[in-house]
Amino acid sequence: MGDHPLPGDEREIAAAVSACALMFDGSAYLSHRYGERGRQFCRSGGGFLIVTCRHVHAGFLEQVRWLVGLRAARGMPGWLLERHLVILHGCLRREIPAAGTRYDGLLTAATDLADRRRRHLAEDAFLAAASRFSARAPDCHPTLPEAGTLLAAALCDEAAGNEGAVRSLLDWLADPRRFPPEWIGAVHATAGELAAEISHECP
Amino acid sequence: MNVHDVFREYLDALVAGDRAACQRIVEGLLDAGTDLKSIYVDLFQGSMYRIGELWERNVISVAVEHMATSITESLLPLVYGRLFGRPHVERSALIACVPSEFHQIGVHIIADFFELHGWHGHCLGANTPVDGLVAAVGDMGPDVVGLSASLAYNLPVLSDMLEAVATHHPGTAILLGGRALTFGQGEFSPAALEQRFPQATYVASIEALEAYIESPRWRNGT
Repeated sequence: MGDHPLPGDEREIAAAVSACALMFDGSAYLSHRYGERGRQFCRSGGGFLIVTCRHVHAGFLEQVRWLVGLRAARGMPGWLLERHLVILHGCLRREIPAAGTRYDGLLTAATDLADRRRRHLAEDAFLAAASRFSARAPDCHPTLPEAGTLLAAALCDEAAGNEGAVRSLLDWLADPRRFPPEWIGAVHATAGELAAEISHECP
Repeated sequence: MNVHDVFREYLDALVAGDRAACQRIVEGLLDAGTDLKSIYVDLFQGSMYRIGELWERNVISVAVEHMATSITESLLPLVYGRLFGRPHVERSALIACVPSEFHQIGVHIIADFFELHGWHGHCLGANTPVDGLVAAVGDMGPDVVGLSASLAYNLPVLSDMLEAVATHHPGTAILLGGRALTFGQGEFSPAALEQRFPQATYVASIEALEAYIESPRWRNGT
């Protein structure tokens, strides 16, 4: 499940495992698309984030930005990493209350990702994307409530230069073997609508 | 015929896993008398950078990336006939990846670059244990030890290895390289490591490496 050093502190490992469970339990998309293998990668990914945050300091931000591109091209928009960073930080604080600011780099990176996302789509439009999609596909797959948000996030990633972010999401989200035509229609309509609102300017 | 002329064809063959085609291209370049440095930097390194980018963008799978790596490693010896036939000086370098670092093409190329400049270049490859490296330095007595880390999370291990070599072999010059150092900040920044271990020198590029090898320190034998 990846090939990198694990944290040596058992509490850090526990935090990585808890954060992954929260990520997957809170995202039907991650569970459905990536399954158990995805959970395993998520756990080791949490370990990577902890080790890198703790040892690489300022360079951590560059690593996280690189990771966004890597994951976005595989169907995981940067917004998911943003959430993972925040959840992981919370789990570390619970496991290691005395850690102080040791893991604050995770929050800094999450804020950086959010800021970069907002350069391309205003926060209110981003937050409204989920309900916008649900309104188009009211009776389809109610267990995938984050579909609209994922579309908005992938469009932001693509606008930021992460080639393949939208295509790799649509490969699954608009797969006719998996979803009915009305769902796929809602996906394309919402994506088109959001795309018109996306700014490609990089301030 | 130069590397630029054949790069696209070579890259396509690499992605397709066509080792024979890659080999023909390298042999063609060698027959045409192409500069060895260009074959290393523009062809081998350049194509592997491109392969890495394609993997990052999910254009090729990790399996294809590994296959391309394997093909490239298998082609490096094609150059050796011209490399090892050169006059040598009595200088040697021992190059290794730090523990848990498996990106080893770079260290092979660095060792070969020492050969290109007339040194004896020894490569210990990927994932070298600290104790093993310290022992090898004692056994082989190189003038220079090169340590490489590609992934940022290996910076602490690089620092540990550096400390071990510096402690056990205080008179040996140490080179630091690899992409990880471009991310190094604070105690793991190249400048901080050089300050903490005065015998260590960071080389950020092939050009910097060549300047180091050709520096008066080694040219004049002091």
